[in-house]
Amino acid sequence: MNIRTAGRRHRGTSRRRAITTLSAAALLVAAFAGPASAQSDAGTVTVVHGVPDLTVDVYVNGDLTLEDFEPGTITDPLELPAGDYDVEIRPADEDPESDPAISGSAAVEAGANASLVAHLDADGEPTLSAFANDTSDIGAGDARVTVRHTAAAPAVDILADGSAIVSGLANPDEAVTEVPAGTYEVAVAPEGTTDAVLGPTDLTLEEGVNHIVYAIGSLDDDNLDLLVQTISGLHSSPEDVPAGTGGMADDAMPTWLVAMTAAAAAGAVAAGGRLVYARARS
Amino acid sequence: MLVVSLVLATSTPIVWELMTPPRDAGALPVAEGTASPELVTADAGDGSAAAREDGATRPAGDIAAPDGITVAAEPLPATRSARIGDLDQAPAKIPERLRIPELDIAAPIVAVGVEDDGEMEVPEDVGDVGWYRYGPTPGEPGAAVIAGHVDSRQQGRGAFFDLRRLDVGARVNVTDSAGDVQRFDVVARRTYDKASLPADMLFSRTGPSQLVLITCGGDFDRGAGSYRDNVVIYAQPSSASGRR
Repeated sequence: MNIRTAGRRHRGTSRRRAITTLSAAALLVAAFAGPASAQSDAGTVTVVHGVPDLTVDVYVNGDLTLEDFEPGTITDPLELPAGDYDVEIRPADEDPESDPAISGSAAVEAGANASLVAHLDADGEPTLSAFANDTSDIGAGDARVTVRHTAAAPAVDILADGSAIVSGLANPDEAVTEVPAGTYEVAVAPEGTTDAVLGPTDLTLEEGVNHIVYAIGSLDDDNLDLLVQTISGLHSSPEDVPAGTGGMADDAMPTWLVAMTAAAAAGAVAAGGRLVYARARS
Repeated sequence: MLVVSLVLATSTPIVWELMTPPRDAGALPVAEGTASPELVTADAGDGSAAAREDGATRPAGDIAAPDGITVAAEPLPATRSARIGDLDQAPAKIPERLRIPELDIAAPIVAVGVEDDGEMEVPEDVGDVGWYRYGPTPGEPGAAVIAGHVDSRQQGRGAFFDLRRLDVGARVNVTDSAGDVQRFDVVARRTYDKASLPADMLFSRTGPSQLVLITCGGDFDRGAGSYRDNVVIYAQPSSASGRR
């Protein structure tokens, strides 16, 4: 994979000029009722930077919250009290009073686990999208894969070990699936084809973990890449531990011993009876 | 005749009972019936979540939400690369050999997972024991689970045939692929009806480090070809641990 290094040479020039100010689109983070948060009045938000070549500062409700936020990086999960937040993104070190490159508002709902993603839309314009993350339990032995199309590219198929596990995914949609944990060779190909535009690359899907994969960048600029966010701790326990079929360790008294004991008891009764009878006769 | 019969009839069950190890012994490190809390947590990556709580990074000041909510001063959140090529994957060391001197057990450890029906996989060869590879390795936080056969109809006695007799205080050694030995001391033995196996506690991935050994035991159901109970040994890291 040499995609990672592509397109970095014009950092901060052409891309910065291309940025337009988006109107404040309301980003509703769907409530995801569940045990996602220890505090019932807070939500969890992870911020993902998927706009190539643009190091930014992120302001939340007017305060600098992320400084020099690099493309291809994500934050640790942030616990935020439920409520509405205004998000403004400016090129790094730009005047905080200047017009933001990207702006939007996000509604954080109690108990929700969401990702706020700065990325390119299908036409290559920077935008913000909010996704609700699936934090429900995963069956023992399995891994969850969430694929989000956040790149300036047409609809794609996601291939794992050569066959499509997701078909026809378009920007800004997502697909969620569960597969046995293990290492897969993943690739991204234009819908209906197997000609990889990204990958193939090995991806180890860990058990009990939701792997959220973002396709970012631009097909035209030849800087497509994959980012991965993980949410762990969603595992389940095995249901049973079957560890014996022989019966040799059965600690109940074996049948022959039970029979012997019964015979001895019967013998005692008989002998006692005869004794009593003999006593009575004499 | 009377005396002999009486002695036999009464003493046999008593002697049998005395010869049979008690189902339970010792005290559990965690109160019974209370599984360790398994909160859903997102990956902190480089452990920077802890750093955040320590206030190691600088605060961004209060965030005043539009509707009057004031967010407590939060340090700037840590960030890390999410590029697929930068992912840190594959655990370094895995357990390879289990020794329990008191029972003369020396068994190879194989990494096992889950069967299609949701049961824990147990090694085919009854002389091997299986480490649940999705859980922690021995010595890491949480419960490292190693299961082995008590016996099998085809192969006879398994590595854990005598596990139900293992006493509190016994030593259990686990050697990993790097040759390091982790030493554990048995703190409790429990026999659970399979229907009420506290799986979430046994397979806990958080909480203090412990080693959990599991096999079968109790009454054998000949119709089903399986034991009714699971025998579980709980062990904690010895204070003295190190290289062999």
